[in-house]
Amino acid sequence: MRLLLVELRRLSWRNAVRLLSLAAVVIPLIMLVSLAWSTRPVTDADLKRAEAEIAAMQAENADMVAQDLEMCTQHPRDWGIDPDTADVEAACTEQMVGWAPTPEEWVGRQRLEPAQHGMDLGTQAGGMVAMLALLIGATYAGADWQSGSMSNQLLFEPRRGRVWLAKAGGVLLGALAVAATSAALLWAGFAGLTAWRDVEVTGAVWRETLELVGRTGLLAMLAAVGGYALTMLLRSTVGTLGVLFVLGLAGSMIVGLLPLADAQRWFLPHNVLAVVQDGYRYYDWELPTCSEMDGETGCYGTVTLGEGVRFLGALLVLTMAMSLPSFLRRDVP
Amino acid sequence: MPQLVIETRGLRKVFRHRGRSRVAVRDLDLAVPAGGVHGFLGPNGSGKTTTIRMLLGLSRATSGRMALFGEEVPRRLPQVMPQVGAVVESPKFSPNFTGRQNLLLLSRSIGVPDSQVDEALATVSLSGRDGDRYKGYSLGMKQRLAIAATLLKQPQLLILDEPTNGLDPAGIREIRDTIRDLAGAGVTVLLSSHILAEVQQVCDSATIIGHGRTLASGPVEDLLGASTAHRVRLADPDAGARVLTAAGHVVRREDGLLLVDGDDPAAITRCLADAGHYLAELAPVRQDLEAVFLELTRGEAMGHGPDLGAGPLESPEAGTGLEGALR
Repeated sequence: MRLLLVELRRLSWRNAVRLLSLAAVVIPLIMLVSLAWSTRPVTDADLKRAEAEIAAMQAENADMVAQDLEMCTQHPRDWGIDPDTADVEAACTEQMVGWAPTPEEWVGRQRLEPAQHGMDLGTQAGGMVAMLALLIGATYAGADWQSGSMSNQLLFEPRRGRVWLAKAGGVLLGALAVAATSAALLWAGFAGLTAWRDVEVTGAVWRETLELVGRTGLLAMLAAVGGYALTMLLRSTVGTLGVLFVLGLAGSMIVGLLPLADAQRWFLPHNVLAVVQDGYRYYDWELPTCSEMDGETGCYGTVTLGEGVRFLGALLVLTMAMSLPSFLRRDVP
Repeated sequence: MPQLVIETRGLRKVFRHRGRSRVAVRDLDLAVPAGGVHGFLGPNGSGKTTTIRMLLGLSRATSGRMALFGEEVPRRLPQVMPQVGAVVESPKFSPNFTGRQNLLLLSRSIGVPDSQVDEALATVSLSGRDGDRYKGYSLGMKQRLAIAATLLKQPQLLILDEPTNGLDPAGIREIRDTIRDLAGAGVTVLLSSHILAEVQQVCDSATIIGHGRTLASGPVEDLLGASTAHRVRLADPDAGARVLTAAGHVVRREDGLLLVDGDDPAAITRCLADAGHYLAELAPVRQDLEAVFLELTRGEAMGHGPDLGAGPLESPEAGTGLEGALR
């Protein structure tokens, strides 16, 4: 317990960790502000401006529309109009200008939809926080190796297993704190936004949001401990980032080359998304069940939440199983 | 037999890298008695730091046995480490933390009250700079902070690996005084150093190693040996040399003086006086540790084994073992 408190203190004193934690709080808020801006209510001024722009567009295209109208009247079949239609000119006119956008369509601004926008925001913010948590775990361990202070710490607590676990515990709790703070501020902001816009958020949406927060929080903790364990194994933050870069770049490609019937099931991003989104559906034309004849319904595979958690959990356990014994046995510089 | 605070038997460390292996420590026997300052000497790459790192659990021994305070390490390290303070190679702290933060993290990890951090900082005269970031410290301040860290444990054994490296003369004197003060307070100090004069001045006993093996060990006075030659000044050194040689003495010329082997000044005086040559000066020539060290490690740099028979030194390999060597 004493060591855990020391590691939490060490974590909180690290500048890089503070910076990444701040980013984990600020970036989701920026995403929220961006959502608020892109879903801001359409004002009268917006509509007037849209009407003016539509009129200008129509004026600019008037000659071309007139030409098209004339051609359509002469050759209605080319325009998909039955020549026996009672009023061909009216039908052509309808076709030419009937699709003219309304001012609302011209503005093209979505209304805030708590269910859809909340889920999208939560997914993106959760992914971002998980990535930052991974960096927190990696940089936290990497700093000890880079400065050489790991050996100094072991002169005070030579039980390496305890040191490893205390640091892992510190990273886990640190990531939990960061994810919780980030989520609390984000969803408080989202609640404020919906209230301000007078948009109702149903209990079901909040329940889904809570579940999403739980899943992304879990992902952040897994990522932080994974980043920590990998860095304790490689003894270098840069090494960890290099491995992750290669995994991100070539991991799916390598898995795709393996003779697996459902290779995409093992793609890292698919499993991450399955955890965040409570399951992930992907298209794979190489699936044995995939056929154009039946409308491609068999071309979709699914990674469930449980499968995603098991996949990421197995990766984490594998990394820890290499990291801890390595730390126990190898010489410390 | 004195109580030993450090003891190694047949300690061996082999580094393996890309299929190649290098023996850093070769069946090293080391015995450091309780109390006083024990020097640990050897050329670069002789295995001093590797030995210290193995003793402290930072590096695994390939074979052999080690004990601190009679407790076998690394198995019993958790039990003995609270009594051991150490600075291995250069001081290693988190560069972005202040000196005080670095010490607080260490003290809290062993349950030492924060007030002891202030005391340790004051002992090494860093109280005024404890709020500065470690990376802004001078080398001397870093060394002092490292020593302050060792003091947090109030250790019974202090292991210092080149503690005066990079320090200015005032800093060196300060560290030496600290070492002597600690030894005076009953702390056993193992001092690994390249500065032979320092070891000679500060240490009560010393071990000299080369190529990972113990070359000699014992009290510094014994290592230096009794005087084995006398410097003689005469009005006519040539005639004096002939007389002494005729009497069976081994005589060498050095800058107009005679160096006469042997430890019987009365025989030299009598021999010369009987022949009508009167001494202007007769002084014993004592070896310093540097001479002993260079003689013992002469072959090391060239890759040859040392001449263990040279000088009045004992070799554990040829003698009666470490306890005997330390007498």
